[in-house]
Amino acid sequence: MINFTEEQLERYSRHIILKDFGVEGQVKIMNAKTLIIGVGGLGSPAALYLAAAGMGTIGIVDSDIVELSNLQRQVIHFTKDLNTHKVTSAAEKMLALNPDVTVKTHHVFISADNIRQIIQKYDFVIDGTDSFAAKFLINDACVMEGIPYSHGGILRFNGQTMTVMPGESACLRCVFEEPPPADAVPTCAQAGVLGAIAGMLGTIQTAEALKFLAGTGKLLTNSILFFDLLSMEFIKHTIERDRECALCGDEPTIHELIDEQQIVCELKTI
Amino acid sequence: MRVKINGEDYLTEKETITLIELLKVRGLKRLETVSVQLNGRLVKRKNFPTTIVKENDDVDYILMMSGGIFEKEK
Repeated sequence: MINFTEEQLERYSRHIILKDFGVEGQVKIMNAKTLIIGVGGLGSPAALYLAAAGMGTIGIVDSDIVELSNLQRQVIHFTKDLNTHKVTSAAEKMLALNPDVTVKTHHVFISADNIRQIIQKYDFVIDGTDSFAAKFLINDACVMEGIPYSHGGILRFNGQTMTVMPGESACLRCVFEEPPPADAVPTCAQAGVLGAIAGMLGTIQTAEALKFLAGTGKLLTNSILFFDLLSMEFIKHTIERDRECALCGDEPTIHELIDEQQIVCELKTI
Repeated sequence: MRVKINGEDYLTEKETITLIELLKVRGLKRLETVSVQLNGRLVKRKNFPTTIVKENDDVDYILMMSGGIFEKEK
């Protein structure tokens, strides 16, 4: 049990007075550890809101540096941070927002060799990555380690997210089986993303982390939330665990992590 | 016949259609990233060509989004 200081009582007062969250929920998140993989579009709002909420420990993983084209949506990074490590830039803002939290930075590129070791220390994982390969790697590692996580993806004006409770609810492979072959996504010419959608999705993922860790509400499990900003339609697709899932089914065939081939995307102009 | 695709009615003159044909008619090109449920049950991708969609069937599909963006930021 944490004895709140006066400052904490005031800082977290809107959580503490919140029905279905309260002192208990706040204490739980202050004792919890969440890992954010990728401090980009999705990871930026996640990192800020988790820090603001007083999450005990927040781990951030990213091997990139801040580039100018990131700033349109990766709101934790500022113009002054250009060319610095994303994890360093993010940690600085998180601690400035709330010195009460512990931030652990992992300046690495996640791979089959290191991911299990990194995620083991955390209670919940937020996927803020931008490739099919990384998403399947996170799914597989979290299912193998039994760590709940939030899947998230954005593209153009669309977002989708699902929460995975390993062994209990559908995993990414139950739904999407495997990443597309590297040559299956031939062009990226028409892609792009509305910056604000990253904020919308990253905060939904963060809410799932806070709900899970505080033990409140119903998680976005066995369903995928899809939204389209152009029509402002939110659709919840109900899904179920696949007993034939190669990872979490009755007779799994995947027992080890592998690094799927990354799709390298050429920026073509039309 | 009439089928439901993602909650909307879809009419076709055919009496039956394979799932893969239906997805293609709907303009889906990246079938490697699609997940389909037929009447609430997941259909494995390898079974798309042999799965028959019939009158009043309910087809629900989701495309996987890879996160960030397909844009080379270098």
